[in-house]
Amino acid sequence: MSEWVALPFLVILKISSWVFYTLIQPPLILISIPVFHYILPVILLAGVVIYAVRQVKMEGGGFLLRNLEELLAYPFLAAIGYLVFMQVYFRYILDDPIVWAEEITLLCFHWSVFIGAALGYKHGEKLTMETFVGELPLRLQRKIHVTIEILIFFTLLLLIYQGTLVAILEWTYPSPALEFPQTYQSASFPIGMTLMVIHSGRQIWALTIGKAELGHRSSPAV
Amino acid sequence: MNALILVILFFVFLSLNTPIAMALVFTCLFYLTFLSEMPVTFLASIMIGSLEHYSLIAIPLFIFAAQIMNIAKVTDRIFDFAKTLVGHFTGSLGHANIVASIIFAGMSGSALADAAGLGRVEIEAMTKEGYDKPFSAAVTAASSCIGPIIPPSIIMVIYASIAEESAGRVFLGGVIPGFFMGGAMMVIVYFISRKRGYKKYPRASLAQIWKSFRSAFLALLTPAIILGGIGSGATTPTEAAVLAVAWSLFLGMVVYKEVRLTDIPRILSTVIIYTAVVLFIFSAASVFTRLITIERVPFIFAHFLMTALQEKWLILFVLNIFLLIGGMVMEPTPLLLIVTPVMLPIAEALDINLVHLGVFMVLNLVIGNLTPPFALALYVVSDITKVPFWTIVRATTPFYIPLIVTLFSIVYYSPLVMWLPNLLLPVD
Repeated sequence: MSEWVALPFLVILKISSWVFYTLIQPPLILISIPVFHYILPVILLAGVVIYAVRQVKMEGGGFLLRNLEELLAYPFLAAIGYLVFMQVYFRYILDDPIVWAEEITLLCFHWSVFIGAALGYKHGEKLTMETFVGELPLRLQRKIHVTIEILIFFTLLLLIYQGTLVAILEWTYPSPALEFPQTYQSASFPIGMTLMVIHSGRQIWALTIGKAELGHRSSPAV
Repeated sequence: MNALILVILFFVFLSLNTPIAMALVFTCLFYLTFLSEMPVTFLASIMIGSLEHYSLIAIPLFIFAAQIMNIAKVTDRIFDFAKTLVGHFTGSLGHANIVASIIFAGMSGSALADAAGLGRVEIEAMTKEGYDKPFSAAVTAASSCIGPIIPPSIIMVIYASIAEESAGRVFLGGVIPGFFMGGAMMVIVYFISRKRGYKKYPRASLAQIWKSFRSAFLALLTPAIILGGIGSGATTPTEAAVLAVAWSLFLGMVVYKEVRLTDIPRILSTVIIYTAVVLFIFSAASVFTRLITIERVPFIFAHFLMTALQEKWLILFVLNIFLLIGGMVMEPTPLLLIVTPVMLPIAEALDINLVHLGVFMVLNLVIGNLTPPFALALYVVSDITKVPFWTIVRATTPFYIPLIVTLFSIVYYSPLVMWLPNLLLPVD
């Protein structure tokens, strides 16, 4: 009985899959490879360049320095979305999975996280907890804050050193599919920390010599 | 002994207002330099290696999709649709608020995106209709807790990658508890509204429902894509996330024309900061948990609990109270990162499925997000409504009843969680 109910659906499925594999898929395969490998990446990169050029025209060359993290991190994030989409498209529509995409996606992911951490630091999104420190007198609060900030500064320097060691060690480890040295991926850590240490240094400067307000904000987290 | 130093040091740093990621790094550095003989590069290599989980890539993608949906103003459409569906109950907009949150939970992965984006729309509409502000803020904050329970959910992706459980199964485990929570909250809203005499709309005709459904239809496809993709097993959560991003970009830029190209840098920056803050803590916490595991803390803790309490229901009860208190004073994500490795051996000893554990842990932490002193969801709605924080806390009190009821029913009746994942994505 149930087979009879399912029959029309099966027929529709058969017909549509025949239509798809003979009429739709072949031309898509022809178009997709040049579009996804060459044309779209170029358009996306051009978008970033146009954005940067426009902002530089508006704000002057300092824009590049002030927004260094943004300009580095945006392309990586966009690349993650693009590559995962491309992978889905090639696997399900073209039946031709891309082997190397996962690796490159993870590489971009590392870069966007560690540069993004520096970006978050720059915007003061440091995710602290509300504790008794907020109730202390302001002078003491400032002292605690500066101490922690100096600790962070030196810890970051240590992390840069360690990260560089790891990155150098990994030069001889090839990645599974494309066999590029894993350093390309792990170098993101010391570089991200370097960007962070710059902001940490600026923060210490602002808190001790400059006259900055205490700005510990909690960030919107999950 | 070393383990105790590790934990105490971490809390000392936390209480001095150190950023959480940095507090973790400080503690680990202290341990590595003074208490152990591991190589120096241990810290950095684990921090780098911890991101080597492909499923984590779903996090920025889900945040991206939710951001675009918020900017594309689909929230209005969803709220209108919810209003025609449940407007005829007493306290109509309160119910609409909850239903809209359930729908929006299907496209956003965090409570905060829900409270900040949809919450603004909901609170404005409710204030216009004469609901008092603390009540509408409380409903909004409470219903935003559904966000991380119904898939997609950022915190569940993190849980799945620590527990090495399939993210799809954990996602599906949250579906029924999410609806259960929504239903329980609607009961409370009904009683409060009847007491206060809030008005209700006439029942919407089928034509009206059809009209609002058509206006919201394209937006409603997003949760359908995500849930359908994961539930049918056709896509992994990461792939579902990217499909949701593509669909919401298409919707926002082509169909509704609310998202402009000039908005993109702003969206990207929000997504990156949010992702990086969460994942930087993730990578720092993975070093911390590695050290805790080396010190055998989870096993000692599990052994202690098993011998001291013995009964399964009692251990579960104690664990839940412990998690609830933890959630009150700490952010959900960092707490989850630290607590999960401790919970896993206990779950194994008690024969609790990891999906079940994940769902009730997340629910616990989300309730903590709604409880002072550290209640981010309440801060957000208090920011929107300009109502003092403690007034909102008082108005939120009745909503702890449905939340706690949901929590304990899913803790003690596991089929509520396990039925759907076992049905759709069974493990052989």
